[in-house]
Amino acid sequence: LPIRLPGAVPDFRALQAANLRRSWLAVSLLWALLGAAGAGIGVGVVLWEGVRPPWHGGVLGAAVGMMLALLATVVAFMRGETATLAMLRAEDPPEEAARRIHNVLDELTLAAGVRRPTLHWIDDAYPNACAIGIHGHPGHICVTRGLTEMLERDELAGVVAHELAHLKHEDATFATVTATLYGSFYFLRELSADLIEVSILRNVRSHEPRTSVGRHGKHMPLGVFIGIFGWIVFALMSVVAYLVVLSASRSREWMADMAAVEITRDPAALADALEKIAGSGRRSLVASRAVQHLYFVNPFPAGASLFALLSTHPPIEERVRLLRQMSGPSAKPAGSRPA
Amino acid sequence: MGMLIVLGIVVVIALWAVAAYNGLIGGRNAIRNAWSQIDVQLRRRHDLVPNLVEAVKDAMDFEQETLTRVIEARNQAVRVHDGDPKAMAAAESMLGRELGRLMAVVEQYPELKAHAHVARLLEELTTTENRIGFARQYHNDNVLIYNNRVQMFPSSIIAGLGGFKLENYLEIEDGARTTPRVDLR
Repeated sequence: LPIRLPGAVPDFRALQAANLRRSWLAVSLLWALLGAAGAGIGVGVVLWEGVRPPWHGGVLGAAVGMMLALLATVVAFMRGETATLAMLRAEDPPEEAARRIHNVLDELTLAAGVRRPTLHWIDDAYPNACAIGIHGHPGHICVTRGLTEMLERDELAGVVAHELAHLKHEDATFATVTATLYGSFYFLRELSADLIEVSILRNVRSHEPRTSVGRHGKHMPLGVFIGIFGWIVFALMSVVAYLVVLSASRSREWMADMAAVEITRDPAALADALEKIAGSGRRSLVASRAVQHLYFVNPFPAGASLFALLSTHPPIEERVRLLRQMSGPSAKPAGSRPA
Repeated sequence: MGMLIVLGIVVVIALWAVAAYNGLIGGRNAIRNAWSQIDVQLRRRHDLVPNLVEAVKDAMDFEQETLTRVIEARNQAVRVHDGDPKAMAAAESMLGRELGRLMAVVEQYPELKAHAHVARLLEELTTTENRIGFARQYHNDNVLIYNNRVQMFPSSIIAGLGGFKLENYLEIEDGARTTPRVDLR
């Protein structure tokens, strides 16, 4: 299909292939990180006990970490859609708001020639949307209350088309798997914190604490040590994992914008939607860092320029600029906008 | 050795021919599927018009002519629906224009638009117009891809041998539909 797009846009196939390579790299890196975290904790524990050689702990820890990564990936493929929807607190859309958005989704499904994804609703004032899906399923699209409140019909269509593009180009599969893997770092960190608490409580309650004596004669429950060490490791690792996820996430957003225009043929409405969202001044109350890369726009607006560099999304102004360039001054005849 | 090379070339050509043939069949099926979607949406519009006219006619006493023209255009579209595609497209374009005019008139009656039943019908009409437009866009995109295959060398050889004909674009004008602001074709 010869698509004539001005500017530096895009060979979809090449972009898609590049994205796929990046996805595999990112998932492998997340696996390696979990393995490394396990190895680190294993070595730490063995050093603390000072009985066996450290590499025993390292190998065992790495094995446990990789097993966890494998488990998380399998879980992501089998239960990732449900788990992520739960993380997003997605529910069925309420009756009065549902009709228009259901209709918009039906229309775009016809335009894109894809199977219809399930529509969900997030009760959040921040205008946003996201796509969740695993390869081979029609997938899910979530919109927030703020989005349906603020946007006109054609703008809403632009946003939903962007999400439909994520599903069509398999971005959603990758995003769902990384969300689950990335989520497991959070989970393990919280688990470490719980371990500290439980170990201390136990130590206080029983008069004869299960203390492990380190080779330097320190007295500290093993659980507390693992907890603190694990918390530090997983906190550091989640920062690294964040960088990995964002490296694969940005180019997808560009591509989904372009693919959305291919569906709606209306770059101006998508640009309008982005500008409205950027200027809304609203804040998200329910979004979590673990799922931020799933969204249409990053629910955590970057303040300083350093954070802009570390964002999962390209800056909104850049996205708007490219879309405006595509629509051009001549492509928007006066009065073409419906009331 | 020479035999093997010849055999290899023959196998490659045969594989390519099968792939090209299947591509043409797939393209033609995609067009048929897209056409049936348009058909569904056009019928949906035919069913919707009487309900809409019924809902607004009391409040629009002095716009009876607009309503009559919409009904007439609708009946004409129903009559020629299964006939000649050209006549069908013309009748549907007419219906789209008349509905667009009706929508513009309804815009002048705020109390009518505020009525829940009318609002629902107007939303139905909007989405149906959009669906027709998008289904047509998808159909015509598929026709473009397919026709390119039929005409471009070397797949044109297979198209000629297999008797694949060029498909027609569907030209139904947008009536009440949001006018798309860019044409990517």
